[in-house]
Amino acid sequence: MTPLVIEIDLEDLTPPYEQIRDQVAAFIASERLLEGATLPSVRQLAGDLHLAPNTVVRAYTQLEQRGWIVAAPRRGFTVAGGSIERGREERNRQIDRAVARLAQTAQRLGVNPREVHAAIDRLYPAT
Amino acid sequence: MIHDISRYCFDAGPIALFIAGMVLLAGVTFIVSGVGGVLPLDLTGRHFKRLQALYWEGGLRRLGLATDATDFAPALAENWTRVSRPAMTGAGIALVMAAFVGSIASWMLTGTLILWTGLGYAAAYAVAFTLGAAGYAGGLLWSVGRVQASSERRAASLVRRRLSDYRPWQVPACLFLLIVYCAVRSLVYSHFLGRYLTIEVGDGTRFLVPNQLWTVTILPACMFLALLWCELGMARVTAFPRLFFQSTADRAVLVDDLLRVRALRTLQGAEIAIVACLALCQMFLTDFGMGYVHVWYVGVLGMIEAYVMLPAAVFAVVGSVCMMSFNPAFDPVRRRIVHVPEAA
Repeated sequence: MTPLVIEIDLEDLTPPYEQIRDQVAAFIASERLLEGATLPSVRQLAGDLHLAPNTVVRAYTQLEQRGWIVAAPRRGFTVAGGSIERGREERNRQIDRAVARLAQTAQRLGVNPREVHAAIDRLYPAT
Repeated sequence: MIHDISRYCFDAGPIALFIAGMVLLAGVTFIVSGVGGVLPLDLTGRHFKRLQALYWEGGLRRLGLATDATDFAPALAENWTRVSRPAMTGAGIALVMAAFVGSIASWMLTGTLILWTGLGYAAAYAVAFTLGAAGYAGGLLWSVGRVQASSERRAASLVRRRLSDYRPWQVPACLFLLIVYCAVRSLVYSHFLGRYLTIEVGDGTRFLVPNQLWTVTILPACMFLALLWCELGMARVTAFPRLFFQSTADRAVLVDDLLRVRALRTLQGAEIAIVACLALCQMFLTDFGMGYVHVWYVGVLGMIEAYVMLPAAVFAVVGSVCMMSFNPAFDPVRRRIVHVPEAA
């Protein structure tokens, strides 16, 4: 079991608030963060990541707007109810999108499905 | 009329000098131990580093976190050194200052160093612990700022940090009850103590202070301020941004938690020691008069109470000193840890 740690890559072109948002959403989708779990305060997360508090606020606000988390009085932000199901749907949607892109690329390059499967097995081996 | 009976028992001059010298020596020792982390010098050899690594290895083993990664304990030791040495230097400077300022104050007021022996020596301990903790906290803040400025990777745990995760809330609650208890018993005792309270010093000399509300309650007020100050300091340490970065982010989080607990443990020990020393001061301030002048008012229960409180306070001081240098195997860490670091 890996810890609930998020990391910001400053060389990534993705803005830090999106990195936070996506990583938190991924933890919820993978059921590592369960319903009702309290997220760290804006100040704590901003301090740990050496970011401005507004960056974290923006990430949390977007997560709240998408229904992943809710702002609870005096508790801060907690994982919203039903977010696990939403997370699974989102995960499946993202995987479908990624596979569709992969299939399109493979067709364009004339790579047959067996080679694609072999490449996947090589890069993402089943444990 | 004050009878200086104990003057004939022993002369406290050398004892006062000894106490002031011990505070000075403790300060110098802390400075020498800590200065390696402040100056760009490595004053310790490989053997000392190995000993430090063994210390942390023992702590990890007790937490059930023994790992095959051979660089983990040395990394812990190195990170702790980076933070603790400036903190120790700060404590040392504060103790040296305490020795000089306390001695000068005593000299100006009495012409001797005798005030170091006041209130059953508890005043000296209270001053030493308070200033030592203040210096330690100051050094810690300074070193944290320095380490933060040099850290490059940006990782954070999604587990919220609270002071109550690191130590039970019953500790400050017990200390608060002790303060209330000291204040109440002093107010009750003050009704029997006449016009003056007595501060006895080691050579039998007694200084009289007026028995008024402020003199009776000033020490409980100081205890409360010390408690508040230490709690705020520990809350600040809990809120420190994550500092320490290892090869992986999950290891960094574990290292950070262990070191945070170590620093909090030191401050928690200092908090208990300060409050207990001030409780002893308060006890000596009121109980001297009660025990020797108005003993018939105290009654059996009062005497039992006084003789229970004294060893309890001494036990608290000794226990808290042990706590400050205790092994990092600290149960709350186990609660917070969600992952055992993998071998490198």
